[in-house]
Amino acid sequence: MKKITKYLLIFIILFLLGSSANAKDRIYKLETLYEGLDMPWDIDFLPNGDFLVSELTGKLKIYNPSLKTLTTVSNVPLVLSRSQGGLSDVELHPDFELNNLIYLSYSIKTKEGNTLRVSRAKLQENTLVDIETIHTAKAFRKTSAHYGARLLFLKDNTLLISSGDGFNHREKSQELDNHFGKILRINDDGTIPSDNPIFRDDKALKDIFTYGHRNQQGLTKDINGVIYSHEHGPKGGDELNIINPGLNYGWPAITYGIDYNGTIISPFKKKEGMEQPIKYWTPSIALSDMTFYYSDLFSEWYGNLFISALSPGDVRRLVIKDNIVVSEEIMFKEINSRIRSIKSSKNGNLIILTDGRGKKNSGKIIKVSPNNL
Amino acid sequence: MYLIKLFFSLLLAFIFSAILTSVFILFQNTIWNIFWLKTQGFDISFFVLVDSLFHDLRGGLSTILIQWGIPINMYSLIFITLFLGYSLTAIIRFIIPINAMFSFGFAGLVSVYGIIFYTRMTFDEIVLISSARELMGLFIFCLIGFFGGIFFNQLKEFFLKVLKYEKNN
Repeated sequence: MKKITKYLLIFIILFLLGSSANAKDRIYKLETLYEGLDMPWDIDFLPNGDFLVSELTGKLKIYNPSLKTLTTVSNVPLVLSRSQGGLSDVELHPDFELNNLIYLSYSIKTKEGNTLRVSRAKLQENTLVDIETIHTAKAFRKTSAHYGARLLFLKDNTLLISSGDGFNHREKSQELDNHFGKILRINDDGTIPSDNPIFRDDKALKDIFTYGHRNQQGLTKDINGVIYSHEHGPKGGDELNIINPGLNYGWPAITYGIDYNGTIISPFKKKEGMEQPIKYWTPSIALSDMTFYYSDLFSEWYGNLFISALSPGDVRRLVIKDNIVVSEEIMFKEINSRIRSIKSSKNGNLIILTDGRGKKNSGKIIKVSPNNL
Repeated sequence: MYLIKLFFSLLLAFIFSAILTSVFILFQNTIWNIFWLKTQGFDISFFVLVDSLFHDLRGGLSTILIQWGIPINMYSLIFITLFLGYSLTAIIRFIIPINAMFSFGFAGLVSVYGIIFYTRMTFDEIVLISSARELMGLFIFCLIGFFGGIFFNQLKEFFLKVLKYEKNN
């Protein structure tokens, strides 16, 4: 008995030493800035350093990192908060400092079914004013799943919107007369840019930028303006794609995944005229957001792509060279939660949102900063 | 001895008919997907078709989560639902002597529809058996359940006849 106790003590001491050395070896440290968000979905940074956080349940909040306070923004449009639907992306206009405009994506209920909507409004002292609907997706469904709902401003101030396939309407991703499974491009006022891709199909909607997508919850661009999108696969087949206008990304005609019930969706993985992902994950990791890192705070991460994942809950650091993923590192597993969003803040810290699904008000804002500061 | 034979006869009739129903449900799902791919200009060779059918027969063994978070595979789900449907019909037929062929056929139809309904409830209107997303697919799906029920009844009647013959001789 004494021997067992002795060995157990030695094991515990070695384990503690090992974990403390491990934490010290890390170049980063994690700090929970706030706990108590209700299913947070996205985060953006205001010029004064405050964080703008959307919650799927329909609330928009402002977090002040110096005071550690959370303020609820009033007059947010009413959203359909059900299953995967709710208030999703929040994006500042590139000229926010001049026009105070923010853009919101969210699901709504209409007579024809529920769908994705994008509105813009001015943020004035914690209140939204001059709210204007700039896009309602022609993707009406009964399901409250697969909205996509990610927003991205391009260098020319046009806005990309990812619109998911609604789960039950996957075949419509290959048809151009609807917004299921598409990436759309509109002007910042909702009008359609004159240089959008032209498709051969007469019925093609003019705001379609790319098609053949499933549920794209990640949209970002690198320093050169190359657009990246990732999408949830079914059972396996999560994809990272480079987005170019007018192209077909293949869902559900080609896929690396299978249906949830174990049957095939398509036996094909490639077809001429359909784009291949630059990386795919089988089994799925449930990609949720992504950001490119361009700061000297972590110089070794410069130019890397950070992708957050819900299952099992970690972040993937990808090194991409000439459009090829050359390495992947699994990071921040110690957070031990579903990671809903990741963004690179202006001062070089990474900011992570965990969604605390299943437990009300358990979502967190976590800061990743250098260990030596 | 007769009761044991009766029990095994009924069990055999149930297993055969449930296997047939499951296989047809999975095949319908595969053919539905393959047919759509054909409309998209894919070259579907005989090998692709057979390979897909066998893939889905194996795929039916993989686990899905249904109502109340219960992990189950397609075969078990179909077997359990049909078992409940046929048992309930047998009890009802003890009380009300309704036509056997029609009542078991109807039980098969309702059971298969139940599978769709309950998995849909779990996943918030998401249909897990993709061919049942459209009305035509759902109709064929229920038709398979109906004929599965009729097949069960015919097998059952056949085994009972054999048993009766054995008993009389």
